[in-house]
Amino acid sequence: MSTQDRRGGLLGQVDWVLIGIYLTLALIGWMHVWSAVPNQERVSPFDVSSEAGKQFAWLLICLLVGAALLLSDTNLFYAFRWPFFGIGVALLLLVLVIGQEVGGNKSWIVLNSFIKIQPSEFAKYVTALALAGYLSTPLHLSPPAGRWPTLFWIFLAPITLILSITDLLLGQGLQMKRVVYWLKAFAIIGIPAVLVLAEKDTGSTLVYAAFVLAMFRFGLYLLLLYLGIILAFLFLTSLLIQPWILILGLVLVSIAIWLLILERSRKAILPMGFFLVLLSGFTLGGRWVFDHVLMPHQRTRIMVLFNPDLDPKGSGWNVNNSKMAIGSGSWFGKGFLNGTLTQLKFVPKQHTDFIFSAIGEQWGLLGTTVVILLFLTLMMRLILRAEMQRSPFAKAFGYIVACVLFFHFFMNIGTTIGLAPAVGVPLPFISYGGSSLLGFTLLLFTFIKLDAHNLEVLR
Amino acid sequence: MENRQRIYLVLIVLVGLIFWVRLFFLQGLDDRFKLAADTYSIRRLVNQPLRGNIFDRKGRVLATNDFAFDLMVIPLETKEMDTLALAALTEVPIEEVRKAWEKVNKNIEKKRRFKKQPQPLIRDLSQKSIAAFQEKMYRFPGLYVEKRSVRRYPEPHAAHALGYAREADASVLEKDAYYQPGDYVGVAGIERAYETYLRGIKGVRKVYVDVRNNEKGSYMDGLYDTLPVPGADLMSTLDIELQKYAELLMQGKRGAIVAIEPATGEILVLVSSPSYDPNWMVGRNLRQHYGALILDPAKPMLNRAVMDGYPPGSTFKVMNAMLGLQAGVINPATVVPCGGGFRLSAAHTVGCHGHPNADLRFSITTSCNAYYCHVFNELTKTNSSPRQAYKDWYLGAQRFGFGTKLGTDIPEAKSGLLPSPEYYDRMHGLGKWRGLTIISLGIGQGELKANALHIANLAAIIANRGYFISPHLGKALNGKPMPDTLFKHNYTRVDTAHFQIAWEGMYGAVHKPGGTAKIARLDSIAVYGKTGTAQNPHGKDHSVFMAFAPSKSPKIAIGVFVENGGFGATYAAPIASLIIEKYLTDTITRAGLEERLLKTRLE
Repeated sequence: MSTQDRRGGLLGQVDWVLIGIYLTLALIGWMHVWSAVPNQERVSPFDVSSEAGKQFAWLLICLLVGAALLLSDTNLFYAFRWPFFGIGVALLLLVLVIGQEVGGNKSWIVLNSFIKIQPSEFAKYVTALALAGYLSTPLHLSPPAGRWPTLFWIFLAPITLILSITDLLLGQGLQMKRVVYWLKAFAIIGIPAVLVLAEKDTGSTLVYAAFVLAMFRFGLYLLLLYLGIILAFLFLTSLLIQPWILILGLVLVSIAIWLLILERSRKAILPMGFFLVLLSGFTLGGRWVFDHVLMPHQRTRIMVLFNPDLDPKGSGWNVNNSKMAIGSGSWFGKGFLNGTLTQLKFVPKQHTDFIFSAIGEQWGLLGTTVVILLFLTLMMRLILRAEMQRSPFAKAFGYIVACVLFFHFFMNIGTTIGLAPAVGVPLPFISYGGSSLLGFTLLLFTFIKLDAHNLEVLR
Repeated sequence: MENRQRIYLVLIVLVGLIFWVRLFFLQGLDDRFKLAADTYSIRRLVNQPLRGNIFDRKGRVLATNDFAFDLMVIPLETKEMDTLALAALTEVPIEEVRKAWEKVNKNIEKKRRFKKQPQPLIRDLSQKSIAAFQEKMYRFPGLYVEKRSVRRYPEPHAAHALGYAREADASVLEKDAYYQPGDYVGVAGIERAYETYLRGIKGVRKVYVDVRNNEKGSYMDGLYDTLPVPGADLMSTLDIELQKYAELLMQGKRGAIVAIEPATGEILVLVSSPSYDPNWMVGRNLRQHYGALILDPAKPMLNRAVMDGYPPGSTFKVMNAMLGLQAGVINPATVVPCGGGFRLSAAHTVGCHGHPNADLRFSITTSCNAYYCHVFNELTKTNSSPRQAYKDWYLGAQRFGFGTKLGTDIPEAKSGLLPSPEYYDRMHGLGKWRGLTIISLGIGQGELKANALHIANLAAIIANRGYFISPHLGKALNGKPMPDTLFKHNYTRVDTAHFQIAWEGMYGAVHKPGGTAKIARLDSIAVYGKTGTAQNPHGKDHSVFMAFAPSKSPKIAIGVFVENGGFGATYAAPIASLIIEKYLTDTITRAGLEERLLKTRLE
């Protein structure tokens, strides 16, 4: 959309495509939360005693919140990012004290039997604001490193080490300013992430990795991204084959690269050796962590990716039934409210983490394709709009929103079709859950608001 | 830095694409899930049809359905089990109750899911026990009573004809996919022969079940559901009153009786003695009786009426007379000098009892051995070689039903033994045997084997003057007669006129001086009979008798074997005579004879 199209007041300025996709996804979600109960037990989708009714009520609240965001002052978000962040962290601390356990996670504040809220969803939003604010001051404009408390260094020591080594390898000598710049960004993410981890909410903790993903756009060493992908690959492979065979393979590949691509460059020997040792260590360490640190249920969650029949009545159960529900949907599905597995509670958590299987069973490949296309359009449009932002804050925020959505999209749908371990994250806008819907609404509408004022920002 | 935007776009599209390809395979190409999902969530429940009833020819009930009551238990819901009180209430031995309860607990230890599943604790309780239990049921949480249909035979008779139906065992389940565990299947007699009619058609109900196996309504609103169709009611040809009387007469004796209505081939009576109560084959009784029945040396489970059998003895002579007449080797006036027997060689004679020289009629009346050795010997000279001539005789005898199953509907029927020319080739060597070698066939001894059904059928052929209708037990299904094609006319190809002499001879045997079966005589009714004695190398000879009556369109043809009964006239003839009298007049005039037979124990 060119800038000429954007005329008139606020209504002319907002991105109706984003709002349209948002509404479509939210309605699909509400519809399928309503569908995912036995046919005899289904009541009106507006009945607030049912989950569908609650989801509808939350949707109305979210629309009000969205409208309020659009009508608010643009500068509010940047100006109040730290107070918001403080409130978010405070709520996370509060959860640790008065929180109640729901489904294994102590991450809920229960107000009454109708309303439970999950502060970690809200924390995502305030972290996004804080991080976007931080990233809007680029490295070259950032103040000198300064002095930081020793505790901070100790706390972030592993990350400091990784960042320093990477910096050393890529730049001309180690520049502490660069390292400290990224270290601070990691600290902003780290505080809420650690608090959420303390609530034993693994899924929500992993979501903070999405923030790191956004940081690459703003100069974080790309090497870390590639390294991360390689490490993930190595980790999964090390579970399947003997680690020493894997290391042998790594050595051979390194020699091949050095011979063929790096043309026996002497300068490359040291960094390559370093990475070889690092990767080998990780392979062994990863296997060790898998065998000795992870809890048995976490281990099986990962192993069922390779072998769904490993634990068909336990960890494999959800994923197996979810795959079966989706697979049985065939090309065009069994028809709305005619899914045998969906309506008969064969897929646990179907209205929350496994809502995608309800769509897959009832609408088949047609339905899943539509949902995937809607998400792709949403995320790509966010990236494209973010890139156009004149305000660095809006740009950073846009990237963060896209990355958070991407992470949820990847982990949630990946889990339901057996391509990602079941960590338990909701599918944005679709999964049942008021806090989650509200969290994503805040993220998306804040960006829409920032985007609507793009033209007012002076370069 | 700008080009880093592309990384994000590529990542998003890549993940979207991977997901879509995965879904394309999962949903589009792979059918496994569709099937799996259906078997997962749709249960096919079978509604058992009631098995068809069986009636006798006058509409008296022979087999019907009763309800059995099983005491079921859901272990999860039980508290302390008071086995003592339960045993007292249900009148089941305390050991049995304890054992059953232990078995349930063992099952649970093996598989946890059994804890929630209903399972039988004690099966086949009587209605009385159930009533007592239900009054105190509140004391036994987790226990309840389930009703189940079982077979019942109101008359404890005709076990071999009725056969029995019981729960399909592993071998049946393996052979026939129709049956599922718990289904009833007819395994003998009428129950087996008419199984496909009696069993009815199962009803099917498809229901959704949820993850906890709870029913959640019918599949497609019952579009594919079917109601069970009860099995057809079968009217059998048996006359249960006559059957009871025949069984009574056979008390304490081993042997068999078959009575046939000659005009229709309908089997009126089929007795195999010793017998058993068909109810013993059902449910709780089975465990009590089956072992004993199997181990009993008298083999009560064996259907002697249709087994391979014994030599037919002199009853066979009547057939040989007919074949001789048809072949032209004798005529009614042919006289064979008896002289105490038929001389095979200087050393061997087939002996005969002393009587005047006989023509054909008198040879039947007096059962002359020499006459029939002569007839048979002549018959083996009618063709180019003895073997060829024997083959002609063999085919002729087969037309009288010997060596065949007679086309009967009794599933246990055996063909007996009518030795083929090849049989003797194997025995003596090709070309090394002739008529005199096998002369005992002429008088119904030797290798021959026949059963009461064969003998009764021979009587029916003579009564019909030349043909028989396959003897059978099934008369009508759901009130409609069996299709005629089922039981066809079998012609002997012996001219009808020849049978007049057989009638006269057999009349003489019962009514004339020199007759061998005068004991079978009735004052009011003409009885046509022929005695026989089946040689028994293992012990006393078997008593054989065949007869039909009355003279005007014979109503009953009967064949009787009494094992170790000696001469035909001793037991078989009076028994047959009493049955004929009972059937035709419904009264017994010879109380003394009856009493003597009832008291006789040959076991």
